[in-house]
Amino acid sequence: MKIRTDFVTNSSSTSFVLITRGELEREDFRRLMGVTDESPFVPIFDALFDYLVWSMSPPEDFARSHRRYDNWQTHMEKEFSGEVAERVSEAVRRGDRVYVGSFSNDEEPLKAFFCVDSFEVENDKIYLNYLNCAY
Amino acid sequence: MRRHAYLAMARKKRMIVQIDDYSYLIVLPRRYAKAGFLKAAKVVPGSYAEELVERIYDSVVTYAVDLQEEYRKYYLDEYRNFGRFLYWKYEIPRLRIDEVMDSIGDESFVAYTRGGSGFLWVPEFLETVEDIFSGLEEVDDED
Repeated sequence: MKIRTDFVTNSSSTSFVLITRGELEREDFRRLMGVTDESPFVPIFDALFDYLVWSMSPPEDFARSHRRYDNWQTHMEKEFSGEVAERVSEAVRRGDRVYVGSFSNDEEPLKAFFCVDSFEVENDKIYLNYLNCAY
Repeated sequence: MRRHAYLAMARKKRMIVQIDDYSYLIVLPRRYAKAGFLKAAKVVPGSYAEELVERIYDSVVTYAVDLQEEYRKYYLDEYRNFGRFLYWKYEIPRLRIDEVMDSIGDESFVAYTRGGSGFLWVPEFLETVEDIFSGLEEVDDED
């Protein structure tokens, strides 16, 4: 497992990239984040899982819905980084499942908390880049 | 929910009391060590969850102002008792002081934090942290 955490931000929304080999299951996400099934923090991470799943879509759909750039590759480079864009392209070539998403700080305090947190985590099955925050 | 469950919830001792929009008063039977808090959190070492739990502990314990220590060191002469110190120095409402004074002993950890680094105003984090501290207290009682 690899993790990288960044500064807590003051952002009102967050966007992320998630790459998974095979189906994304809730238990896989708990393992990625490092919370055991017996942990009292399970409901919090299950809620984060739901926020991600409800807001994510394949890169081409996400880029199309945002309409800022000509194609999803440019969207990835501009909105994330060249490194992330390259990683996404490689994942697509491998046949991994790739998702991009974003959600905003709305009425839920827990969602607002995760809008200001920033990290990157990876294990043998899933890569989650959650470093991108926006105002 | 059965009546006895409702009563149990009502009797549950608050360990973290909100004072105003940003400030919290923390009252624990003692200053629990980070290792015990992490163990109770049941998170994987080296993971994001562990890093998050460490941040929570630090915001509630490590970086919170230890009020009893501060009172004993600097304010014993100025304020007649600890309750008056909380009221006049930290402007903690009397109602909040009354809520917690019965819980405070010589070994208690009584602390003040502003914002709790963004965790305590989230109900899910607040409840989880209180549950962990309650569990640690029960382990103490069994010992």
